[in-house]
Amino acid sequence: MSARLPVAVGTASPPSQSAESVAVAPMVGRAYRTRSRAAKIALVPTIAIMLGFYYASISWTVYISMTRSFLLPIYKFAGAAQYERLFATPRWHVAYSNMFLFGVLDIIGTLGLGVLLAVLLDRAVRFEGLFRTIMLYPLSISFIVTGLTWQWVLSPTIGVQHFVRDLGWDGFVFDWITQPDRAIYTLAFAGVWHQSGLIMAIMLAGLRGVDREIWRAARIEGIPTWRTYISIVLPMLRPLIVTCLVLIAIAVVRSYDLVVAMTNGGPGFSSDLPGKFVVDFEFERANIGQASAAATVMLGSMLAVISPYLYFELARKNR
Amino acid sequence: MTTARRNVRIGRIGLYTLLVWICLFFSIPLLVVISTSLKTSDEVRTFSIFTLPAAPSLAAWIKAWSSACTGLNCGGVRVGFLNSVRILIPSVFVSVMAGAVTGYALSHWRIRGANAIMLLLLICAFIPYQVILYPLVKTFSTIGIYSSLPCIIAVHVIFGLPVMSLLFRNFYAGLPEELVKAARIDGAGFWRIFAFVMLPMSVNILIVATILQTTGIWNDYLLGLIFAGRDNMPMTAQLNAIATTSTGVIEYNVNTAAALLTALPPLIVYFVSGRYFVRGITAGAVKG
Amino acid sequence: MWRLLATASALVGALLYVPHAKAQNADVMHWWTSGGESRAVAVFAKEYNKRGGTWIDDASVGPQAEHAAALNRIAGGNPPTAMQWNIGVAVRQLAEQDILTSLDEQAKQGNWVANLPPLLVKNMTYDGHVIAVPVNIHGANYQFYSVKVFNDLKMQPPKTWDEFLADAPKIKAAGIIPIAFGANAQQLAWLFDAILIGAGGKDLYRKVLVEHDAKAAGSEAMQHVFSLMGQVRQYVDAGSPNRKWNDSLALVETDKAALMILGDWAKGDFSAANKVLGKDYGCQMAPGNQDAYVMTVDVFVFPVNDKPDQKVAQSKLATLMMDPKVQTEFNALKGSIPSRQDANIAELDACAQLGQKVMAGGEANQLPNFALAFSPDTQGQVEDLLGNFWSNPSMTPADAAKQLAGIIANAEH
Repeated sequence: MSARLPVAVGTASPPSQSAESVAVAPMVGRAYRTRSRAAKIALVPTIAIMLGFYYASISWTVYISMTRSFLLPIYKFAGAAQYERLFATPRWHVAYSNMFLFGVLDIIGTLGLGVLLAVLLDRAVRFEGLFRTIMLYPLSISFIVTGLTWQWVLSPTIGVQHFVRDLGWDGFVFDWITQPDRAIYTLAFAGVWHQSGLIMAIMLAGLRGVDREIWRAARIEGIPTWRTYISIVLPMLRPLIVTCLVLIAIAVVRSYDLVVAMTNGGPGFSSDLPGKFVVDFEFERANIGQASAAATVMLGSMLAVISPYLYFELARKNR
Repeated sequence: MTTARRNVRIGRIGLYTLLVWICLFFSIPLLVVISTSLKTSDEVRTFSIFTLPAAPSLAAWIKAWSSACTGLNCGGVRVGFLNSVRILIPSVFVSVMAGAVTGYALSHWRIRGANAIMLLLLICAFIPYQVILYPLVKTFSTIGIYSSLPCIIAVHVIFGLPVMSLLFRNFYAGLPEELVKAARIDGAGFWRIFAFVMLPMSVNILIVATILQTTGIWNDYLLGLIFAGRDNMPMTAQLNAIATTSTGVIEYNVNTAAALLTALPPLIVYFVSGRYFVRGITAGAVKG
Repeated sequence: MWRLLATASALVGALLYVPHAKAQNADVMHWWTSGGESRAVAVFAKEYNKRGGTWIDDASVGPQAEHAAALNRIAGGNPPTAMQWNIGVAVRQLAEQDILTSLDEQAKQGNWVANLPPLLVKNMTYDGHVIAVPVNIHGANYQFYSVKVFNDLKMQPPKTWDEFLADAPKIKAAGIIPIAFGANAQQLAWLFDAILIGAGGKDLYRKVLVEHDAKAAGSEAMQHVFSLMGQVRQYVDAGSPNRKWNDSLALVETDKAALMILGDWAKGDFSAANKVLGKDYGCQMAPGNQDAYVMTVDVFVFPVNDKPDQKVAQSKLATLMMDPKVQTEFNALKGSIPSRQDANIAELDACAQLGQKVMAGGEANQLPNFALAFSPDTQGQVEDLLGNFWSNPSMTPADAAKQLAGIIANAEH
């Protein structure tokens, strides 16, 4: 009764609800079907941009990855040479496996903290605007500067380690950013700091949209607040959580500024990520063939990992 | 009864304590940035990042705003301010609206392969945009608007489209279909329903979309550099030029001040827009 | 009616003609954005305006953004008049695409070739044509040291790497960082070059960087270079990974570190910190580099442009950039030495004088840096290797040399 009564409208509805609406459709009659030429026409620009810009560009990239292009595109076909080189490059393997480690940590951390913050702010706190803005500000300031600041804070000679040792704790060690096998964790840390405010904002928008009736019903039934969140409210916001997940995943795959500002891929190339690998080769190393090959592998991996899941997520609501 | 009230109070205290601690964590770099921006160059050079400025001075702020040099142009970050605004407002508006319409069409109208379209669109967001700059430039110069204000706006709209569409699509997919059906029975068409039923219900998600796009567009400098043309250089291009140098001198106090100045407009957007998050707006709309 | 039309069209024609009649605009892209750099580039701008043109300054955020913007402008049919580029293979790659204007005429008139170091001439010509303008020569293999630190310790700055390794423990024992260093690609390259010359010798350096001799790159002498680099590693401080050179140099400026290996652009940073050459800080060639000058050169190239006024602008600009007088003035501010060996250097500082003296020692002393020696792609691979070697003490010098040989074997010849 409780989860289904005054239908969760704000942002989301329980999965079962759509099935119900489909059943209603025949009663409405042919003329009122949600079919419209205007809807199709409205999608034309989007599809045109998608095919004309994105898929044309992606095809171009895939093709360039099979040429020996350096500074500028050369259209002579050269087979799989770029891929052979890519897979023989130690730096690529480090960057590629870092993407998954960093991705998992960043997604769990950002999503977890973002949702927690949204729930905290949803509890009608005073000075919400101030809290909210503090949590969002990392997005507004150029990472070139804040990333550098984190680098200072984490640096053993000028940052926290130095500070604590000055206080008298001589043995204190906090130097992950300088350790090849640890630096990637500091990246994930900064990534969480940078993005969880955004996730908070999205989830807060969703929580605010949840019908008051649900809360009243839960209170009447004596369900504790935290349980209402976990078993009723958050499941209703599933589509929004998926949106957040995709946003974070995009940030992970494309992360460039973050790496450049924090570690620049170092020490050595231990904290490199594919996004930086691609941009380095595209610009600094003037090797767009290699950059395109790396981008193609990246995109392919993403397709394999995320699109079956996404398709499932997208389909579960409309059909 | 009193114990329950006491529990509530303890809960509230715990809540605020947690929030304050989290905000402190969030503020660490901000505090370092602010304190650095108020220091003199000699003070910065000692790298005592946690000590407060001995004699706080706004000199770096003034320099960053009005006289820091990028190449021969010594006008500080204010030079690009208006350009950034001119790029930001239309780009945010068009991209948010484009996303809203796309998301709406893909969620509430029967279009064959709607989910596949959404997925195909979303895949586009995963390609690092740096690798597709070249074909984009070629396309825009063929169309004939390369290196102009419309060009940079179009670029921001294109790069914003996948995520904006997803955001709205998933939001609208959560709204009951009866909403549209009822309006349909009343004789409303695609656009009328969008304007009078969907948009008024989308305040929260519109705010989120605005935050997201404002952040991305305001902080971009590479696209601006390549597509906007010399006369439309955004503020962040100045900022990045001031903050990045290969063999030159770095003035951290000026860099941090410039970064803070550049960050003000999005901060204002965050602060103001968040107040319009609405609670449970749609309850009446459906039942009625 | 027809008269009116004719008048109107004449008017329109006149309006259209105006841009050609007025001073030529020179839209110049470069990445010299910081204080000293922009004061230097102002010399060119002032001179160009004096000679009747209008300089439009187009400064970008570092080479990467500038390259991207410039290439895309060319692709979009709106090339700049001139653009700063990385000399070496990067310039040649542009020339291969027929993007660059030939400057043969200006070079002949200005007698460029006879007055430039041969290595520069080789790198600014393609297919027999002059296609680039080198405006300066920085030296990358200096050592800058704190006068106070060495006075206090009653020591001399090291003349060889062995001396450095012998002195470093004493410096460290005194609580001072023996060598200021930030482990990023840029500084690793400077250090590697200086150790390769100082410990491996100029011959080995030339074999690897100029002749791309893979056998030399994997030789025992090279292993020795890497092992020396590994020894130097223990004398940097814990904050070194990924530290910017400016911040590393600040350690010397504040007398926390004894010395640093870097190029003459250090002088700009010292003067920004109000430190005086000879009093607060000293400048010498790096240990074992007394007769070697690792050239770091800034060049401008001129993309092909059909507009007549742009052709005039390009010619004017190229000529003035290679004017010895202008170069002297420019380099005094840039901290480098003029590329033209006939330019007057009497007014340059002691550090530049020292560099010029080494340069005057002839071709044997004039060595290329990575950018002059390798394509950006190869350079990147070498930098990756150096970064990996530096951050993984478990990697043996033999292994490093072997990997270097592999990279050199695949480098363009």
